[in-house]
Amino acid sequence: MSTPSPNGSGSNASKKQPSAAAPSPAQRETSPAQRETSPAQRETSPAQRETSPAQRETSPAQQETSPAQRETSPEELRATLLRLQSQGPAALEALPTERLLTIWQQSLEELLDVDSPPRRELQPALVEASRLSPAGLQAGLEALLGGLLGEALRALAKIADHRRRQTPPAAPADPAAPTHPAASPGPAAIVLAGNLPALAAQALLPALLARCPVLLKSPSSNPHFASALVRLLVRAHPPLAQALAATTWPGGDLQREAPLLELATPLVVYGDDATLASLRSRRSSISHPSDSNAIPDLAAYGPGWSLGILAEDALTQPDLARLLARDVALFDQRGCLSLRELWIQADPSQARGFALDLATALAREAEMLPPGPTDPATLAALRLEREVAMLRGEQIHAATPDRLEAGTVFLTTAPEPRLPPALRALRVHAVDDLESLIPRLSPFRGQIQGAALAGEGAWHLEAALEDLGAHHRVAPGRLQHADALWRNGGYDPLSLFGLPASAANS
Amino acid sequence: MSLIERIEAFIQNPPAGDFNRLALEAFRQQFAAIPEYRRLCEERRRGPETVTRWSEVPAVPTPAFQSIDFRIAPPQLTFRSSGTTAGADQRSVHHNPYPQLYRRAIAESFPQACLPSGKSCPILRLVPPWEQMRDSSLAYMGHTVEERYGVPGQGCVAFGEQGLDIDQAEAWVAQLSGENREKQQEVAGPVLVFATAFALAWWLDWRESREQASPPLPPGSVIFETGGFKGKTREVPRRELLRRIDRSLGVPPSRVVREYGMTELSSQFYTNALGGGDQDLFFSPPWAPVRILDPQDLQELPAGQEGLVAVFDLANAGSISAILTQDLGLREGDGFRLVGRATGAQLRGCSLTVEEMSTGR
Repeated sequence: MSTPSPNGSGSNASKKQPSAAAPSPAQRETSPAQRETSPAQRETSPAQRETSPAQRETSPAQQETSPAQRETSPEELRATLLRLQSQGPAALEALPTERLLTIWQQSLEELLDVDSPPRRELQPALVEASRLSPAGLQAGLEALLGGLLGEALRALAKIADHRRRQTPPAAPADPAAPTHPAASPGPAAIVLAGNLPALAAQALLPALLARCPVLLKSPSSNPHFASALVRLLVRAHPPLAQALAATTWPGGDLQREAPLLELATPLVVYGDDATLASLRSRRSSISHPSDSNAIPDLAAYGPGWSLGILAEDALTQPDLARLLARDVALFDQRGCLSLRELWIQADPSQARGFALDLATALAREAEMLPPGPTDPATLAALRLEREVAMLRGEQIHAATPDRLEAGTVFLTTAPEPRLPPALRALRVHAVDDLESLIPRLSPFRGQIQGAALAGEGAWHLEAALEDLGAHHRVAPGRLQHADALWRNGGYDPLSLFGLPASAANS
Repeated sequence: MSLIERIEAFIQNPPAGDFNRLALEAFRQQFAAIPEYRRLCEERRRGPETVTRWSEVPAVPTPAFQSIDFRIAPPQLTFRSSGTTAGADQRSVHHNPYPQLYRRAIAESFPQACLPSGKSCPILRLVPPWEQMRDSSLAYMGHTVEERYGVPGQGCVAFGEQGLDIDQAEAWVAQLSGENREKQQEVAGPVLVFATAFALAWWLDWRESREQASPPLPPGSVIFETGGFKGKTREVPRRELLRRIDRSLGVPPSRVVREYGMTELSSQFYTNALGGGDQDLFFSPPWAPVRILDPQDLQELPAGQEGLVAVFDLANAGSISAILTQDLGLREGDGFRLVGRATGAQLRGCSLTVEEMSTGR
């Protein structure tokens, strides 16, 4: 039987190599959260003091089939939600913030550490289900989870504690349940998308800090990460089993969804427009305790994408193409923070040179972070897009001639956005005037999630981009490194779970 | 004879002509007349001087018909896609300067594939009449089929301004079965139902919801089914659709012919259901061969491998003959099977591969 690494994986987690090959750029680009050793990492983890030897010796992934890996019946789901509702708040309230942060940091680091027993157990299923290459998966996890550790984690926890002190207690949903200071009665249900394997962590953290019990519903095609995370948290602090659950079922089951619609508050859903519209409609017919206060009843994360803007004075910045290529390549461009469209203030000759640099950089990315397996439908869509672009007179610069998925740069002088298929494909618009860009983006208000900005003229557009819904604005290379404070979809992460910002506590 | 006349003659009698020669002539005209196409060919380093086989002619992807005007002469007919796949603002437009080729293609393929006993019969159309939707290629096809193969005075268009007219369809079927004796006409033998899969599903829903069973179609009747469910608000698996057609309309799967066609093409492809063939295997006519291409390099794939469906349609001589569709297919024997569709072009972001909660529809 394998033994867990002492004291979790410590701060070296992100420096370990996923293979015998040279370290990936993702490993070299250690996030601030990963560079700094937190107190939780230096000290012996309280989790280890609390857990039994048997619990320490058995990794979560080695335990019997998790609830997330088999389908949950509607009755089981209802019982789980009622249990979370009645017992979850007390279990969470009894957990001091410092302890929660330690457990969280330790669990995420174990999942980041390719040599930790839980991660080793999880790795094959995670690679297969995520359809990312092993190196691509690791780089993606480091980008996503890195923002939920260290300083960002502590910053969000500090805000949460402050708001908890300021927020008056809400009436508990169950009279038998203990009163708790969070305004949300819970339990929250988070319905996850399958494109980003670690999305569960980003969605779960604010709920925990708000002391809101949570049911995580994973896609049945990829239930592994959420269930592993919950098991690690529960292993470290067994009472969390009363406040957290991970489950799955195939989509489209109205009967199974009924308890979620009835009991979950808030319902946090990642989905497409039709799905979200349907849920809104069905949800609106049910009255919820949170309807009376400022907590959103249904938080919907619809389709989104990200863009880049480079002002003339930025084009000579070193490494710019490499950094942007990383923003494209991470998660094989599947996330809403993936770079899909780039506007550069450049003349045709400069633009062509920069597009060539980008294609070269994408080729390098394809070597360092090989693309995962491609599905024929997306590959076909990219082929069609390339052919149409040729007819439209766009220039096409391929990362490698014989592998579409390695990267494509479309170069056009047309300023209108025209999203290419998400297969490491980027459309570059060479324009004279950046100011005129904002009106062209206004039809996409609410879809634009992030912006990589470089140069004074680009940063000058920051307020307008915020107004369009691009709440994550960073320098190139950091687009997919959102941290715990990110207002994904415009939602304040703590407000969702019962801790709204107010004039008094914001 | 002009090229168009020679192509029409070829469609009428393929063994007497030289497909490759006609294809290269059509390519030469299209290359010369359409600047955007010339640019694509030049990018691919292919032109009339270098291409010697029809299969080397660069293909135009169907989405390009949304923004580029492909035609070599003034159009006599203009068809627009319904916009169900790409959205109302992204409709393909196909200008057709030579509708005689379109009609000839129908004449040389439809009767054998779709007509009960290969003969004229009463036709029920569950598609818009051409008078109502002049830019719909399917409406035009239905009109042409009725004109050529319908029985005057015995057909029915169960489609009005408000959409599918189920009452009209039911009245027509009742009349066939003799239930509506006041309006009964001399209808003998089988009939043809010309419909989209979506309309059929809608009709079947209605019939199945009735307490009293509606009469079936006369024995030997045929259903022409096209369109699938792409872009629609609901989908019915094909096997289920066939089962329901059999149960409700009394038409067995061996009498349901599936058609594959699109706005950007002038020719159609059919399954050989009436000949006892596979219900999902399409065959191409001699004037519109199909190839399955690897999306990576547009090279032809061997049988059994999934790729993009490409067609060289001689009947498209007035616009673009070499067409790269958005459909995924694979070759099987002499036919091809559709297995999916290029779907990566739309906005996906965080909902990519999301396992959706049901849409509740």
